[in-house]
Amino acid sequence: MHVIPCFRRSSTWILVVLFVVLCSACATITAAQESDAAESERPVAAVEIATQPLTASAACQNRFIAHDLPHAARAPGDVTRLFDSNGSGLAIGDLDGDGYEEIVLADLSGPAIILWNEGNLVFSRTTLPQVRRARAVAIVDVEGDGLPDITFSTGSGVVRLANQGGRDFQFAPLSGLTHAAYALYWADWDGDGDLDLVTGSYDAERMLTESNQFLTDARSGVVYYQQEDGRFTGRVLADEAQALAITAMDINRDGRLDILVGNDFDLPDYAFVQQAGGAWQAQEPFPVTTHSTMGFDPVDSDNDGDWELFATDMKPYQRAPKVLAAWAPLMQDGYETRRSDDAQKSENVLLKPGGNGAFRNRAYAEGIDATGWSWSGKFGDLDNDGRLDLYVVNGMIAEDLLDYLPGGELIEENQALRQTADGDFISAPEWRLNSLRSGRGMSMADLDRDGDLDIVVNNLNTAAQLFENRLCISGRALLIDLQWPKVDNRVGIGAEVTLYTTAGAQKRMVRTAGGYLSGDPSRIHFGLVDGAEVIGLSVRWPDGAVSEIPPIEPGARLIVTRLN
Amino acid sequence: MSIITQPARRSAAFWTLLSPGDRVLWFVAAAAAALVLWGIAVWRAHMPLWGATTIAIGVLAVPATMKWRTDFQRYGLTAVLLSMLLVMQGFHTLEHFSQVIQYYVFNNPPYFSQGLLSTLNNEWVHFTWNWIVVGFLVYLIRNGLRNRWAWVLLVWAFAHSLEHTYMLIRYLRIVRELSALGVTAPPVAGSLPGILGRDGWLALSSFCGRIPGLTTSSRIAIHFWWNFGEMALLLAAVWVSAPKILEKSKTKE
Repeated sequence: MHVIPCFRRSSTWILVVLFVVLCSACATITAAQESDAAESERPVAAVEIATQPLTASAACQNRFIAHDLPHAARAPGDVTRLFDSNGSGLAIGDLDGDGYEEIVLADLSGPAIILWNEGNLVFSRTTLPQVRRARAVAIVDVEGDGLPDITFSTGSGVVRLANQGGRDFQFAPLSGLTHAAYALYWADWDGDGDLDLVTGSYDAERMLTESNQFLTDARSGVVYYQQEDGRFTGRVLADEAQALAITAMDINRDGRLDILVGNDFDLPDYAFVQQAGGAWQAQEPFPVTTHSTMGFDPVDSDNDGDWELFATDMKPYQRAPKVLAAWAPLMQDGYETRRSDDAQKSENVLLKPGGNGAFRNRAYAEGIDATGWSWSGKFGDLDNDGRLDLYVVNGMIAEDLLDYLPGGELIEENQALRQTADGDFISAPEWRLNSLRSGRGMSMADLDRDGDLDIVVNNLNTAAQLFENRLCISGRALLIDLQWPKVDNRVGIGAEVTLYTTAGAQKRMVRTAGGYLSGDPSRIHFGLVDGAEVIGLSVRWPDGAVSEIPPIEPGARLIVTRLN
Repeated sequence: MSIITQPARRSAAFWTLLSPGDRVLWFVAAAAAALVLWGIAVWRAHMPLWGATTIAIGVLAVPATMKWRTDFQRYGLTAVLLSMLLVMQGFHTLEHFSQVIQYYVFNNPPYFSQGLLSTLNNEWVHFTWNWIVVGFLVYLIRNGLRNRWAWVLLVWAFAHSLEHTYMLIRYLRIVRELSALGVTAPPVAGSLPGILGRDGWLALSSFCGRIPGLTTSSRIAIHFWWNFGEMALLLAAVWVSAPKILEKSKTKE
């Protein structure tokens, strides 16, 4: 007799569970349909395509060939001390519109220079006497006149050289900028078609040079400058900063670019998430971060369609006693002060989002956590196999910090790591990118337009280097330039470009800077493994509009011009 | 035919090795005195933890020495060595357990997670102690501690000692390099990983990749597990062979 009520109770529960499962299924299907509908409802942007063939490669030698450039960024004075030791950056971009990208190199003791790319890796040099003691460099068309300008941070502010055409640049102040700037990043954060600016101060250096807390505090911090009709209006996001890197990335996948600031020392990195209406909310989206963040590189390193964040820090890449002895006094502080639950780690991190949007650090698991005293670290498909490789420049010179080392210099080999088919990164010394010079700024571009990425490094106290890519690679490449003449953001900074091939999809973002103090070209490079065919190309413009481009033959430079 | 069951025999023999015997009062008094002195040393005299712990161990060593002297007369050298190994390895494991607590529960930095006898937390001590354990085990196995657990324990202890040998060699080489630079070796030089653990030799070797736990755990966790395993195997080995060892000593009498 007791069986029946019990059975009734069980069947009630079964019905409740079934109902809940049914509702969940319906909700999921509806959400998926809405998502599909939203995707299909994205405005379509009509584009015009022009193609140019790539030039023939020089004879391959299965390695990179190092060329010294006529520029050596030096610290002022005979002895290099903190924070001159941090060196300077560089930027790559097509300043004269001839299709070849120029190199702009900053310096601390002398003027910055432009190396005009005349083709075939021949450069002519122009000195920029107006710009001294420069740190970060970015090439951007600030006012949208179609002529890319050059912007520099100097530690105390931002300097702009406005492009007048004909290889002529004039000093042109940016109106409305108020705060000290060491790191900077340009993007169209508010989606109004022009470029906004975020700057971050490096307070440790300012305290050292200004020796006045009041002066230092007054202009410190992270500032978001919104551009409106050529004038910038600043909004202070943080009152203090040790910013060595800034980048833009959509952390929460809501379609709006957020701001990430990488701070040196104990000050945690900042993440400012853009809210509806343009408000900014400070958040802590990452379970771990680098401790002394030197550089950022937002990337889709595993070609899964999700943006990851790679950040560089200091950790020896070898365990040889000689190497560890050089590092041991530096590691002592962390040994004495860093708690086990400290979210800041003294190693590179690669933060990958999971299915629920939560980030996990995969740098150690993938073997890219230790690349020495790392400054600029960037991903690029160096061997055109459809998988992104990693290059990190490193080393340190500081008599007051490393007084136990000869010349106060920690000499390290730059680290080139090739991504294998199973997603691991392995050292690639055969590429001969292991320069012993003290690298700071670094950027990648196909400077000779032969379809492979070359690398430029701005070293400290030695000549800058161009590493010409002479790898014997069978894969092909696509170079893509976006043009959007109807808005001030003419090269579509912030646009996402996805290449669909028979070997899978790859995604890149058009950006102005990456790594440490280094401006990146707006031209995008895709490598394609030999035999892979292009199925199509998709551009998601900064305003959310999408352009679908039919299959194209690789081995070309593609100019995609948006018509509306 | 004996009416005493095997587990009962093992239990009795096991506790013979570990129990204070007829010196319970001595042990209780020593334990109380050790606790009081430890408290005074830490909180009143503000001595470092290792100093207070050394005093406490010194106080406890008095009745322990008396017990082992009696055991030596009753059961012979093998039984005494077995008892000493149990106690000392037990304390050693406790020391590593306290490091885990300091690091993972109290979230202390590694420098302040060196256990109760922090000054002894250096490569020379670890190296010496672990090879002493191996030496003890070889002697004990030759003299009756002969069962499958003992053999596994010997292999385990040998592997553990090899890792400490590797670490000591590397430490000495780092110290030599630091001397060449005119730098006195900072403590961190003695805390670097060995073969296992995060950033250890295995983790950086290209042939096996990253194995969760073995190549991802901190040095503190790795060496806790080394010693925990060693202690567990030692207890199992003693549990099985203690009756035989004690009976053998009686037979000799």
